[in-house]
Amino acid sequence: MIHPSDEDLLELALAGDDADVRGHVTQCAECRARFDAVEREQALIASAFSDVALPDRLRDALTPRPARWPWAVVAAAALLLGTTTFFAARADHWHREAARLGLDAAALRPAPEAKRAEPEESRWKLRNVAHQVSEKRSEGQVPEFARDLGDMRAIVIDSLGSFVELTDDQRHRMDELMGRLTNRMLSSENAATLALEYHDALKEILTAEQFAEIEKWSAAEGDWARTDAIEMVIDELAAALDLRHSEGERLREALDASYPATGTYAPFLMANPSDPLLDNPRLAQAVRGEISAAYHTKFDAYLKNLAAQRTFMEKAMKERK
Amino acid sequence: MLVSQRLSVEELAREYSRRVYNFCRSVLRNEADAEDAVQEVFLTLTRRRDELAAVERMQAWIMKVALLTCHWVRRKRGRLVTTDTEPDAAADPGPPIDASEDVGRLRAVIGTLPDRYREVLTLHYQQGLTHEEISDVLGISRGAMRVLLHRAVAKLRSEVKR
Repeated sequence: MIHPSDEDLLELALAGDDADVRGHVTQCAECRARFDAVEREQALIASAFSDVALPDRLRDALTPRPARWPWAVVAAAALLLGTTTFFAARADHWHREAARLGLDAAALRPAPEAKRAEPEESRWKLRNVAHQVSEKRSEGQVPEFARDLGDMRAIVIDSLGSFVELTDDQRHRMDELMGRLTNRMLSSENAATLALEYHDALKEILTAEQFAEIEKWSAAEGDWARTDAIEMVIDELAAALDLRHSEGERLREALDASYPATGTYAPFLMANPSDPLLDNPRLAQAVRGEISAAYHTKFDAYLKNLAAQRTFMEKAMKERK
Repeated sequence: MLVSQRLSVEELAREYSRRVYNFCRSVLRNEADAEDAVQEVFLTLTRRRDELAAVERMQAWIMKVALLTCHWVRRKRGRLVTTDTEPDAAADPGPPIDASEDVGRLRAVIGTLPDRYREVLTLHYQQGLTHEEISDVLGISRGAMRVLLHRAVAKLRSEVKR
């Protein structure tokens, strides 16, 4: 008799849909005992997620309590009127706040259907590397910055490789191509022009069938990259200006309306040194128009700092060369 | 009748605020951040209340809003949303954690797990969502969610046994 593994028993506890394993556990006393231990473990883990009451101030902020009767008895009609006015004002404020705020766009929409099995992993990797690149850049760490861009190339090639089968030679040639273009981008050549060159060069490396598939993949990933680029701009602004979540959500809509469509998808080129808010005055204007005037000084300082970082990094890159 | 057709945002707050608070507290591991996040969640629900009538699985939908808000808070605090799901983690989870294990220690170990693991464990064990609902909240396929949950428990087992 083959007994189920620990993995099988855990799967049964988590999903409970394996009839064979369940049948075996019912029949075999030894495995029944093992499964009982897994169930006790599951109850233990669940108990570790404690249920804590809402702090009073939070509960009061979210759910205004109704007046209690002794208070109502003691209170005169005027007080009741005052209470009514208070709640009416509160409700009015709540409604005005809701009316003032726009609806969120991308963040809560269901993700577009994936073109391939699991794009999330490479997307998350790209996003994390993009954050790292941004940090290294702001700290002026030139070698680390260049290394991170190299990591990004590797992720893109792996991601492509999980979508269409690539030979070792193709991977090698793609890496060379991307490395060459990245270096030219770092020498201040226009990233959009380089992306077109990348697109044409890929045709030489891939078969027509592979290229057609990659085109489909690029379209889906390009859409995601655009959304993600907007997200990154909002993240940075949220930290720099100390925006509320709701303000960030409004900003997302404003940026979404103004952010240019992604051209050829070449994330290893788009990552940096493009600064959307510096490069595209329309975007900066959209942000300025959306945020409240109280943030304008901070926003100007943020743009100034961004420009200084860019100048510093470009100088450091030239010195490195 | 759908739940959302008979509940206003304030009623939703009464019904779900405690669950949302516990979820945010578990994901963010910081009480002040969790309180901020909960307020943002219900402000978002207020802004989107016209959509509430179409929501079929209210708890899952609110948890999705809560998770995105937690990510937001975390990023705003300068902490990356880690997706360290350790794909090389051993497939075999090993034997279960002994039921006599101290809950306090278990809780501490859960607090050290990568964010993505803690999120899926919280949705499963604390919120009691179905696999389909968890997949929807995390924005991943059901298969990927099962793998993630399995790995999270395996990781928890290995860390507890250290």
